[in-house]
Amino acid sequence: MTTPAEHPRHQLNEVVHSPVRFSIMAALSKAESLDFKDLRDAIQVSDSVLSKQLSILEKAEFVKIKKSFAGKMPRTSASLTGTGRDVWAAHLQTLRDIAGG
Amino acid sequence: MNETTGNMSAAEARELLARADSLGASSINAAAWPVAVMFTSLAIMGSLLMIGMHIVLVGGYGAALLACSVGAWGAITASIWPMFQRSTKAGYTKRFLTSLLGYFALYVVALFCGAYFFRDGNLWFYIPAAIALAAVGLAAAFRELRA
Repeated sequence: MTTPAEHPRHQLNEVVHSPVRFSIMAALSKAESLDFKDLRDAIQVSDSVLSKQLSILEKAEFVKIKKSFAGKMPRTSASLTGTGRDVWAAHLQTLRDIAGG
Repeated sequence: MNETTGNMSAAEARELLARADSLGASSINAAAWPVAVMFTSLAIMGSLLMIGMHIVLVGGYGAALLACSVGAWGAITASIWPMFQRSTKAGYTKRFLTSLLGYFALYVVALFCGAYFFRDGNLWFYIPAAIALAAVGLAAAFRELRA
């Protein structure tokens, strides 16, 4: 008797699958980098929520945070790392596998 | 598998995929305009310079001054406008550098050929040079808008 194949949902990445972090990864996937304010406006969350979720993704090494200055104004931007892009692509493929039934 | 990932249906997966597509597209909506404006400005300046070079060369005075002043404004434009760029689309750095280097390479070639081979002006050279610089600058602008 053969073992049934594992359902694709077991391959979903738990770090990425959280709603806000999923939205962050989706927004960053098409960008080289996104300013903090543009990212916040795109996914419609507060500054504190976005900061917290970005920290989690940065700790997982999926996202890189860059802080710079435009004159005296601090500017923060985020971008996906190579690992982050690979993980995101795999996550989307898993969703397609689930969607395909 | 856990409570978050364990009970996903095909419909939920499709909804998530659609949401990912939508967010990815909307997040970079306004990311192209500063660089597009910059390249459009370079297109205008470069093509007007070529016509201006013909005029001053025919007149016999001011070609070097015209070329230097337009070149300086071109450099200022190329430096200032990208500062308005807060977010960038995927592949922006490579596209921007290749477009900028391509434009200024053509600019230098056009100036050199004009100064060396057409010192007294020649519409048959300067009009095509103006068109070429305009085309390259505008192509770079549209390249960023369509990315």
